[in-house]
Amino acid sequence: MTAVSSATTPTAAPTGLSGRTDRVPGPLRGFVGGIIAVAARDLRGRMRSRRTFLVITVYLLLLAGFAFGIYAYLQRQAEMESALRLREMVESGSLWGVAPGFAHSARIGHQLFSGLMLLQTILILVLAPAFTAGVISSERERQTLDLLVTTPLSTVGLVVGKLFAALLWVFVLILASVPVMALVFVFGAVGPDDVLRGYALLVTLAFGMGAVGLFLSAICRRTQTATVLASIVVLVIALGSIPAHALWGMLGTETTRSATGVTTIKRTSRAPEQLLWLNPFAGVADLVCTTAPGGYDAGTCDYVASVTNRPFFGGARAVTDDVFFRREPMPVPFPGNVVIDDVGWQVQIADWGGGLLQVGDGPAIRLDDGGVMPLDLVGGMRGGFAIEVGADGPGIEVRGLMDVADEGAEPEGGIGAVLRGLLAPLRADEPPVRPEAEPVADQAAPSFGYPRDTLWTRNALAFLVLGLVLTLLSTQLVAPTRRLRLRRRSGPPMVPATATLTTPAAQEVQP
Amino acid sequence: MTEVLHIQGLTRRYGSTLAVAGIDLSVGPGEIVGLVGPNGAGKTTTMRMLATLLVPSAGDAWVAGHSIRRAPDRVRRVIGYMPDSFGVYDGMRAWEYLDFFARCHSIPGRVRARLVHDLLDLVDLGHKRDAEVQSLSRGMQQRLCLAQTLVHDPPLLVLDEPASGLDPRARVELRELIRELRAMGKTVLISSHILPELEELCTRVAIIDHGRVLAEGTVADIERRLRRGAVFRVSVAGDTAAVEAAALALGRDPAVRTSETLPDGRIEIGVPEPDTDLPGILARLVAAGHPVSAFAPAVSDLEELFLQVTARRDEADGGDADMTHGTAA
Repeated sequence: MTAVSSATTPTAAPTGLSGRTDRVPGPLRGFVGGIIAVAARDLRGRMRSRRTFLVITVYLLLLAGFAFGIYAYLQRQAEMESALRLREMVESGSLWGVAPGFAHSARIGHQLFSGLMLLQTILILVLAPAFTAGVISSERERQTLDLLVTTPLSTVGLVVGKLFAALLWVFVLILASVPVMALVFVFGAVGPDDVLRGYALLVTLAFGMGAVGLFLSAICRRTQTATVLASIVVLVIALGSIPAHALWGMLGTETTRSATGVTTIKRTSRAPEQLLWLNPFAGVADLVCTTAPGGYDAGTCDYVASVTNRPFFGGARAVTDDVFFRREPMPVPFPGNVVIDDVGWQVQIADWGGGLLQVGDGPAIRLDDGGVMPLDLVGGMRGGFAIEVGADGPGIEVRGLMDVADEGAEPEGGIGAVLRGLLAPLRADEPPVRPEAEPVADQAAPSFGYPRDTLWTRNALAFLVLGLVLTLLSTQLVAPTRRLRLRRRSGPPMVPATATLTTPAAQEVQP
Repeated sequence: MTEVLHIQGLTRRYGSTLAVAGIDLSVGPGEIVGLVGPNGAGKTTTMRMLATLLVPSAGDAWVAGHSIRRAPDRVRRVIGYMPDSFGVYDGMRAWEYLDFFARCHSIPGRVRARLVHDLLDLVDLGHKRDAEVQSLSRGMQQRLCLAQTLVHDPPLLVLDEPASGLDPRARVELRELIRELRAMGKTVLISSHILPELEELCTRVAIIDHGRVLAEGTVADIERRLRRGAVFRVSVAGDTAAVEAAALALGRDPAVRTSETLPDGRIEIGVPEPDTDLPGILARLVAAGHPVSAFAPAVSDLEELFLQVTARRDEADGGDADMTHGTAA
């Protein structure tokens, strides 16, 4: 090794550049300073481009157009419906039913909220990863990443700063949508807390999906690859998990048919709700389900309840408004036959021809002979019904035909009789699942009310966790020398495996 | 440790390829050391390891006493690194570019404005302060990037092929700038694949090929140690016959090893040692009545030297190590 003797030491020339102290910035300063410096630079570049303003304009036009479309459609539909309803009432001579124009405004509010939430979710799913998929790889393509990495910025600060700058841009879009979203207040049904919940979900969604783009940007050499991969991953998460969840639920049942013609469907396993934790649409369904005019939107609420396996309680609606059996109000609960417990599961009987019949709610149906049959959910089929027995875990589903030959007429002996008839053979074959055998602690107490806030909060949490994990992983990928020191690195440098190679090669050349 | 940079057994492997095969080098304060080698010799890999962009497979290096393996964060504060190819951000002005990197180094706002101004003046871009970075010429961008490496006033600058792709004028300007940096007390490690480019600039050079240091020292040192022969070209006035006669005479000269007539009518001679009795050869040739019109080295000394060093290495790799054979390819 050559000594340093040949070094010429010049007198340290004073420069105008060294009027600084050799202060070593702390880790926090490096972190915060990194975020500010990087985010400021990115935003400065971005806000100078005209595209930024174009995107905001297009985004808002899209939302406003969509909102107007929903409004126009619902208004037209409501007009047609009232006309039809009015004619029906006149023809039948019955004045029972929904009055013309009932809850139109609230319905528009609800549908507007649902529509805007859905559209914004889709837009964020598309935009957030697209914005972030370039943040690291474009630095790499531009060959500026090395310059950044060799500064004392903390890598976490660097990556978070870049993510923040890209997301701020999505947040600007979200914020810009507030005036459009505020339209729902004009129509009602949706409260400010609903809108706040919605925005909370959207913001966490943007963070989680943005982190997916960031992570792929850190993995991939090219922005194009990262963008395509990010779209695919987001698509799989957002669209793939719902069919996967449904398929799991379908595969987790076992169907047998007894000699009496009763089809028994046993549920052997439940599709895990976790499958949908990263699915924003499940969260949106949870959010919008209770903003319907009746305080309950059957489609979304049923779905959320089936996913979370949590009870829902239709409230007054279950026993008054919508309990009708084809123009004939039903005596509810069924006198003498079925007693519905006051907590727990709601039972529905629906006949496709006439709409929804809700029997009531309770974890069990108490039959008049003293037997208790816990009920989970009863879904309808044409001219018949199905009962799912067993509130939680493996249960039995009974499907049978209910003779409703004459539309509008109550079956002989009441529905309870039909029910009992159907359940009898089953109860003989198989001991019913006792409600006390399955104490569902977390469902018992709060089980009144809607299943709201059970899914979207988990969604939001899942997005946050996903975002944090992927951001941390990305920092590991940005600079290979700046790995989080999970393990203590071996102190002294390793002896090279090929020790002979380290012989100064210059010696070879020397004569 | 008094060295600004101390490299010990630095090795980097890419899969089975050994990009840097154990480099040892020490650089004292105020030195300008050139890393010279053909493309793919391992210069960039070495510099990237020093800049803490790559983790060495083995070995270590210390910059101002900080190990690049164990204290990369500290190394980043004492090193200014200019990559061989670097990009610039779109939509950013020259001053913003420097301001951004100053921010990255946590330089407080009141110092930053003056610092950016001074740096722009230093690299002679004061008049381009508000110009968009991507609109600057390549030479200007190169200087701007150099200014960026100086933002945190590091004692060591690592410049990877700073002159590549520059026109001769920009090269001269860059060289002046590096001299100025040396006057400011900076230590510079600079790489190039062209040895003459570094000749006037560097206090020392290290010739690198296949990931090893083949020769190291001042240019004159290396020359003295390595030169085993030289090639000269002789022009003779007159027709082909005169040239043939002169070539024959040269071939018979005891100090000349080889003599060959080139298609353009010049004669190329090889001499075994650089300090061969050249005046003697010339005198004997003239004395013999050959009308010599020119007598000069065939290629520039340094280029030849470089080729010699790297060619020798190639031969050694080929298993046919003839260390005394020194003809330029």
